[in-house]
Amino acid sequence: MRWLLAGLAGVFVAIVPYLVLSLHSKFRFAGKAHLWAVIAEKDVNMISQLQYLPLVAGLMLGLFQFIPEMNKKSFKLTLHLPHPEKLTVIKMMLFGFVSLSGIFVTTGGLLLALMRFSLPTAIIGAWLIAGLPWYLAGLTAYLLAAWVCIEPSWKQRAINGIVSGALLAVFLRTSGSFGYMYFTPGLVAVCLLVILFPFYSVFRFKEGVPE
Amino acid sequence: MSTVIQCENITHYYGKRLIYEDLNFTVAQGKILGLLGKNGTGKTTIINILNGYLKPYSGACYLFGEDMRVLTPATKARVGLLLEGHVQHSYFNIVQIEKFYSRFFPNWKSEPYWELMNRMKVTKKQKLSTMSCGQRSQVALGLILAQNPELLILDDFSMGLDPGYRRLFVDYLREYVTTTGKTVFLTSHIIQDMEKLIDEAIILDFGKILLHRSTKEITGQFRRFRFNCPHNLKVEATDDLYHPKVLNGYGEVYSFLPKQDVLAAIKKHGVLPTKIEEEHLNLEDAFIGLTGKY
Repeated sequence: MRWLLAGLAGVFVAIVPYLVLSLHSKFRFAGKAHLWAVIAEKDVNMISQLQYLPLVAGLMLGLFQFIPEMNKKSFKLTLHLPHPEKLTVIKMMLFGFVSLSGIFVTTGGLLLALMRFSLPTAIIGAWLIAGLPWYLAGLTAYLLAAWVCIEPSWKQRAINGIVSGALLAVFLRTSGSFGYMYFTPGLVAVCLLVILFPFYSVFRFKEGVPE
Repeated sequence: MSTVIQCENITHYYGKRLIYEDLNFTVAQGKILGLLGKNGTGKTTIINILNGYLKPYSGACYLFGEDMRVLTPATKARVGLLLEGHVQHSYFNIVQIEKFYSRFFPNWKSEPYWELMNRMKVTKKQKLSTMSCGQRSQVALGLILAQNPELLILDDFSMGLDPGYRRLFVDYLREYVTTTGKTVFLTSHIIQDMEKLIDEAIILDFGKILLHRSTKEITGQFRRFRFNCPHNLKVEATDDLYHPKVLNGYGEVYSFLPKQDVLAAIKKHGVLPTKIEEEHLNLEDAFIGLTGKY
């Protein structure tokens, strides 16, 4: 798990200089004034390569953390620990949620801070609004992966997987700067609501729902 | 002597298949009780119900007086649980897993764990996922002993173990529980191992408890009777005559009754044997006699 987190952090850190250098390279070829005009008129998002990265990170962390727990149902041992069960599950999810948030906030902040040297605040603000749903998708994907993994029944797991796919698609419908301007609070609400989903899987696991 | 495990009127179904109906039993403090049964009679189901990982159709189980559905952390700390197949968090190595568990259990004593680990030829950095089943069984046993629980629940502890590891497991466990007076509730497919270990046995049949008696009673009183049966007459099973069989002029029946009573019971079926032999049984043969071969 430590290696996975280090790897994910490494990828997110590495993409910062890549995007900054890529922006500078475009400035050199097209000229700053021309590129600013293109960005403003055609709503070009120069960090759109990031769109699916938080999603992949969230899914990977969720699967890597919870699949071993469900392997031969060793999750029973986790729940058998002399510690309040709900608190155990909360701590497990907080570990991933906080780790991902840390990576996202640090590297996203670094990227925006470096871009402020080359771009006006209005453009960076627009890109931030555009990028927020991608990061929320990453956090939601992590929670949904936990929901799917802990679910004991394969049939329900497949249904959960389909629902998860549909929910995540809502976060990634557009990379346009203002596509989610008014719906971002809605996406935050969805992300927070999804925190409850794994608890339902834990409840079913404890009920002994057959595979 | 206080009751550590109490199950009341447990009824459970898998789909439409009845597993048990109104199952009742108790385990007193300090007893080593073995749950014996053929495959599919619900041994693991009981373990799951006891630990709150399966909600029965009806009925309730209590561990130290607490409902199994809502065990408090304090009660969980008093219960050492071994899952079928010696399942553990296999991504840890033996140092990490000891450190992980020790934080949770207030009575943690690492000596028995390291004593067992030192017997194994594994490095401290070797992950559990790369260990053999026998080695994992020692890790699982060591962790349970280090928890220093009052009750040990061991589900099919002999599964996947070669005779050497099985013997090591049984010897170590027996020495530990007899010197510390722990209560043990266990299941195993290898009944020879149970015989050396358990004080009492519950023998499960499909849907019910067939028998709950002390091991001494079972091995001391339950016997196989062989007799000649000249006309191949059929002997019917009764509450006292288990699994009678007649083949090629010879009959066989199992019973707790003394020889003369068995003879009288056979004669009621019109069979008049001229020769009857009784045979003392070990626990495995007694189990076969009680549950039948198939």
